[in-house]
Parts: sequence; structure tokens; C-alpha cells
Amino acid sequence: MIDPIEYKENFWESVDFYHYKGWTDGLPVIPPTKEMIENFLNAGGVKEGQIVFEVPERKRSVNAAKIAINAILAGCLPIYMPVIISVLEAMSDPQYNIHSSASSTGGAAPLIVINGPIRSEILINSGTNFYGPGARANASIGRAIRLILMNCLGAKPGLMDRSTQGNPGKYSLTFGENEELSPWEPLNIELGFKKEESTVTLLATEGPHNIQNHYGQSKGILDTACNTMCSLGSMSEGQSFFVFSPEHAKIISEEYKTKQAIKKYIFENSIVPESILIESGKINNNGWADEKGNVRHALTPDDIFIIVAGGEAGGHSSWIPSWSRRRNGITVTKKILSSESRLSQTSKERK
Amino acid sequence: MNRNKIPIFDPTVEMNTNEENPAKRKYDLNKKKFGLLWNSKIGGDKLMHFILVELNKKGIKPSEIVELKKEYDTRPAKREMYEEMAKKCDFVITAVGD
Repeated sequence: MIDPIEYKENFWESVDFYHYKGWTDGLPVIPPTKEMIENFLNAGGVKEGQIVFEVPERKRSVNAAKIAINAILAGCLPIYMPVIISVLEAMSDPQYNIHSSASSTGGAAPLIVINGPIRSEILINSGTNFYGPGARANASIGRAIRLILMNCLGAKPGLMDRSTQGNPGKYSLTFGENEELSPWEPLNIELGFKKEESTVTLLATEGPHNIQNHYGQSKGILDTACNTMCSLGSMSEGQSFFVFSPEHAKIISEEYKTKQAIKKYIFENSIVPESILIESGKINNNGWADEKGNVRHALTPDDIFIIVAGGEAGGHSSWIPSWSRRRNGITVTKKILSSESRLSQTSKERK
Repeated sequence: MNRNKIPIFDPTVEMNTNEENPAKRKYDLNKKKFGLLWNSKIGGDKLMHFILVELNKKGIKPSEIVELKKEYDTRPAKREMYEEMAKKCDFVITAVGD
């Protein structure tokens, strides 16, 4: 079993020591104990020396014990471990591009969307103020991932994290889809998973951009969304997420019954002439214009993800564009395995 | 003995420092096939061409220049591109520009 490196006289001395060593995100941490680490490993269905996160570009292999320690420091509960492990599996996929997104001047945050029955088991917030404070799962799962990136990948500000401004989502940008108030199929079903299968979906992103519209009907709300997507400052050929509030989703669905219809509308109506991007200095001459000389924040309608989250009242939706000026990270979804399922995996299946 | 004290656990992971074997270097570059792999960010191409000029000043001249550009700046080049480089070049200069 992993052993302590030293002991401190009392709780506050230990908390200060973690700060002194640079092992926190700036907020105080919860000092782990051996018993807590064992509980977290059991809850995740992993053994302490089992490698669960590998980043070849950084020559780092992170074992389950280090994951558990960082999750405890972040204030997680043991039942969050299956989610955290699945998030790290998604980040290990080269499509996600963890090495670049964690170090880029672009200041990406890992957007983590949770679907399926695990949402109610861990009490992840998908309703009122889901981006904001109040829910332990939303706050601490994202924080655990951030501490793992900082402590295990060396993604420290000014060292291997060179974000020009960063992004508040780097503390945590984790929430559940409000499947119960969505008029459309939830993301896990759309991506081919079963209703009873819980998933995490990740993309390295900017922060959320507000889509405020209190009087519009379907078209008006979608046109507001299109306008937000055409923001020059965020224009790239990457993927993005529209997170519609239940109120907006209900109004939009009166005319647009499927996600595919919404994606098509947004794709066809979120257009910026390439000449504007060139004149503004956004791009030089390597744009991705169509035959009419227009660019979009997507290469196909399927680059546009549609989900629902938020409280029942309010005309506020949001758009979360991919990080980077180009198309450097792709959305990755992984199934969340229970501790029993993970324990029964063979080493070949793990790879 | 430490029953009433608070244990500290190290949350960090060090870089693997296993010895690796880099490809053999060619010390005589003159008349060799030069590969230039640009990461596609602004300025990277200029840096590589600057290096060519500097090599030229030292009397090192390529027999051929193969210029390649990555599809996306922060993602690895496609396997076919690596294979093309291995096939066509004696050595490759790559640069990160921004």
C-alpha cells in the first residue's frame, strides 16, 4: 500500500503543506488518509498500482493510487471514482489531445458532460445553476481532473500550462444533461449507447457564451444561437456544444422535432464570409471556406452537439466552442463502468 | 507513534526517464535530401527556411528539398506523412512557429 511521505502535527499544518508544495489549485485541499485511499480505490474497482492514465508525449503514467489521492484532495466522494476514471480514459484518447490542450496559450478547460443513470446516483447537477456553485459532484469531479493534470502531468501555470488568460472552467466545467426536461434524445442515446449506460463526453473548450433570448419563438432563438456561433473571437473549424435551457428547448422543439433538424439549421445559418476573417487578421490564407467563400464553426452539421441543461425557467442557453484556432481536439465519449465491471475487466480489455 | 498526526501523501507523478535510443544522426548533411515539416502555425515555415539559409552559408546544400505541412498544428502528423518523410528524406527539420 502507498505510504505517507511524512506526517504533520495537525490538520491545518497538513493543508498548508500541500499549498507549500504547489500541489493545489489555490483552494485548500482535503488531506487523504490510507483508509480513504483504499475506499476510493475500491469504489473505482481499481488496484493501487494499476495504470489508468498514460500520456506518452509527457512520458507520464498515472496509477490508480495517485488518482485516488488527487480525488480526495479535491473533495470528491468515493462514488465519483468511476466517473473520474472514465474521464481519464477519454482524455487518453489521442483525439482529445490532452498534451496540447493542457499546455496551449488558448487556455482550454475540459468540458465534461455526464449522461445516464449515474447522474442521480452521484447527485450531479443538471438543473438550476449547473455551471455555478452548489453541487459537490459538479465542483469536485472537475477539480480532481484539474489537480491530476497539475500534479501528474506537470500542467502548472507558467510551466507546462502556458494559458494566456486561462478560463474559469479550468476549476471545473462538469455537469449532467437534463435528460428529463429534454424534448430530444439525450447525448448518450444519440451516440449509440443504451439508456441504462452512463457516459462521460469530453471536449477541450472555451468557457460558455450566453445565448439570451426571452421573447423569441423557435426561429428567433435559433437565429440568436447562430449569431453567437459566428463570433469572430471564437471562430475556428472545430466542434462545439449548444447547451439549451429547458425553456428554450421546449420552444425550439415545437418547430424542430429532432436534433438533426436543429444542427442542419444552425450549420446552414451560422455563416461568416472568409474575407472578414482575413481582413480582421483572424486567419491568413489557410481558411476552410466553402465554394461560396463562407466559413462556419463546423465542418459538418454533426460537429454541432445539442444538449439540454439548466433550470426550468429562463431564456438563457449557452454555446461552448472548442479550444484552439483550428481543429485540434475532437469530442470523445466513454462508458462509465461500475467498480464491479471494471474489476472484472482483463488487462487486454483495459488497454 | 504517528497515530495523532496527519499523514501527507505525494499526489505527483514524475516523468519516466527510461533511456531511449534516438535515430542515428547524420553528421555530413551536404548533398542530402532535406525534409522540412511545418506544423502549419504562422512563422514556422519562415524559421525552417531561415535554417536552410544558415546551412547554405556554411556550404551545406541539399540535393533535394521535400516540404511538408501538418494538417493541424497541435496534433501529430498523419502516419502517411511520416512514411513519406522516411521514404523521401535523409533527415527532417521541423519547427514550431506561432
